Amino acid sequence: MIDLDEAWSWYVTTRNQLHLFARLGQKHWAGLPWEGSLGRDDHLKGLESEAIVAGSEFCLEHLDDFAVLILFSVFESIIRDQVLSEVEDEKGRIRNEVVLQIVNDGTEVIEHGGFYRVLQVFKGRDAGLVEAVNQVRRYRNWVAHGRRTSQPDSVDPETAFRRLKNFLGILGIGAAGGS
Amino acid sequence: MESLKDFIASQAEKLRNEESQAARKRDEWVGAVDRLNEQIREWLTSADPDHAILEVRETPFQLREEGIGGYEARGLLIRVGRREIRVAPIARNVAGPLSETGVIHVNRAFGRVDLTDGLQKYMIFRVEKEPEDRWRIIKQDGYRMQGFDLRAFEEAFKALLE
Repeated sequence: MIDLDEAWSWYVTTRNQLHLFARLGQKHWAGLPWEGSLGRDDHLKGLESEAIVAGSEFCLEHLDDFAVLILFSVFESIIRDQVLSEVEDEKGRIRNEVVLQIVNDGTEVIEHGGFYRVLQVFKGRDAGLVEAVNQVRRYRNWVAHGRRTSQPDSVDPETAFRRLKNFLGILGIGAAGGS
Repeated sequence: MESLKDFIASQAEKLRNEESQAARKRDEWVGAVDRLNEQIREWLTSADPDHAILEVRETPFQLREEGIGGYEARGLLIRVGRREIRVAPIARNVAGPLSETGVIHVNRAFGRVDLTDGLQKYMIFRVEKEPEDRWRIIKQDGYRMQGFDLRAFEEAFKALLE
């Protein structure tokens, strides 16, 4: 499973690669030695500077929103796994069948239910922190549902990453180190 | 018990209040963006007094935000030869870039405007609105946020053209 740092690294690398390619197209394309093997490369020889820049702009236009989406998906998966593993630990000690059934139903919610409910579990520990993450969740949902409704509080990828990382770090969940 | 008539009247009152709050918030934000545009225009004019190189024109952006609704805010389109730089209002409601999470509170920004050539991006956050607007700028892949003044603007603008 990809962790939050890897997801962040994917975003930064993708953005940098797009910037580099755009820069190459914008500033150096005409100056490349086209008379050599470069000029015989079918993938490159017909490519024009403007098309490279336009293509990079198009990718970058949506990249930030998709980064928030991916960062939050990774975070969601880490949290669900963590909560599930804590419940599984506790389940081993339960002898009463009714209680066990209730816990099993709860497990179903943790695995497949709305993530909002899972996050509420942490509200007792730190309501402000949960709200900060909820802001990212609402923005992620807006992106994931096609940006069809009014935009909730706008979230950039770095803010999302810091908040999610902070959440994992403060609650001691998952691989929160690094970066 | 409250009658249906009274209930509808109180709902109507609530709705009117919400609408007027949303309108105030929208107008206040659109005004702040206009003032920012004006400031940027002044800086550009002092750099190119005869408008020999820079072509600056206002351009509308359609936005739709929760609690505000759909509205139009104005940005700028700055042409430098074949290059184009945009001052684009992004949103009034933004998750604060300086947010402290955890046991502390969540700081908020009161709006974001981007300065971009479509590839590189500088984010300009409105970090205070009273007694007057205060903006701070950060490069998208940067780590240092600084006050948005002439020096910061010139630095960003030149970097976008380099």
